[in-house]
Amino acid sequence: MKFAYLPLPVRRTSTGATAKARHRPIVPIHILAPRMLPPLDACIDSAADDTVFPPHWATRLGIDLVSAPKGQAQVVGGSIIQVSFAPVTLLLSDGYETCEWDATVGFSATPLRWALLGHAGFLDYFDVQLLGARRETIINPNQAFSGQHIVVASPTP
Amino acid sequence: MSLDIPAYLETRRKFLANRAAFPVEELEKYAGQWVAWSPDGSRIAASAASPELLDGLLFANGLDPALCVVEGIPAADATIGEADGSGA
Repeated sequence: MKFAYLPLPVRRTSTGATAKARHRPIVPIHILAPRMLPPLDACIDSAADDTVFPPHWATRLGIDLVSAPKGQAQVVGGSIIQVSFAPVTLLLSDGYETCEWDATVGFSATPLRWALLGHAGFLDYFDVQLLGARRETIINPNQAFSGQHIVVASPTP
Repeated sequence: MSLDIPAYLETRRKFLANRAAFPVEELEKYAGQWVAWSPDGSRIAASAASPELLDGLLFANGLDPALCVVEGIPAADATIGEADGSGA
């Protein structure tokens, strides 16, 4: 599956950065079960231990964060956030292929702008290439992926 | 609930192409807010200070929230926090 990096506005430029946009490997992901939710943009985060969704999504799923198993997840820059874990079914598609799989993901108590696609629940199951010059992300299921992978059509060059 | 896969894939292709080409200057107007994209990714269908408010706005505009990708637009270059719109 291939996804273009998404341009986001730069509000606070880093040292030496003059660009008006910052491009990030963000992909739209669906939670299909236990209840189908609207797709949410999710940032691929190799520094994240877990796949983590914003707290609002737990509420929508009807997951009781009080009684759900709890833990900590290390995310961007080594920050530690409190999460509650729950099993879900996820769907990712670039319009030409679909991957559907079961995963236990975290729901953050801390607000998040995007879901974070970390190792548990995502990177363990996919080989990901971040092509900086082309601003593209290539995502392919690997041998650890035990979900459903369907190739519907080949993308045009 | 099951997806109409052919329709879903067609929508996803259009969304990804249009979303990647969306002018960042236009997106900057929504900094600090949550947005819901139109199903084809060509425009912002609704925006609000919190994601909880988006469904109602989409329904009012005749759109199905299940088809609209939700995203938080940073008020600063941060992933964590500022998701309540207060940073806008």
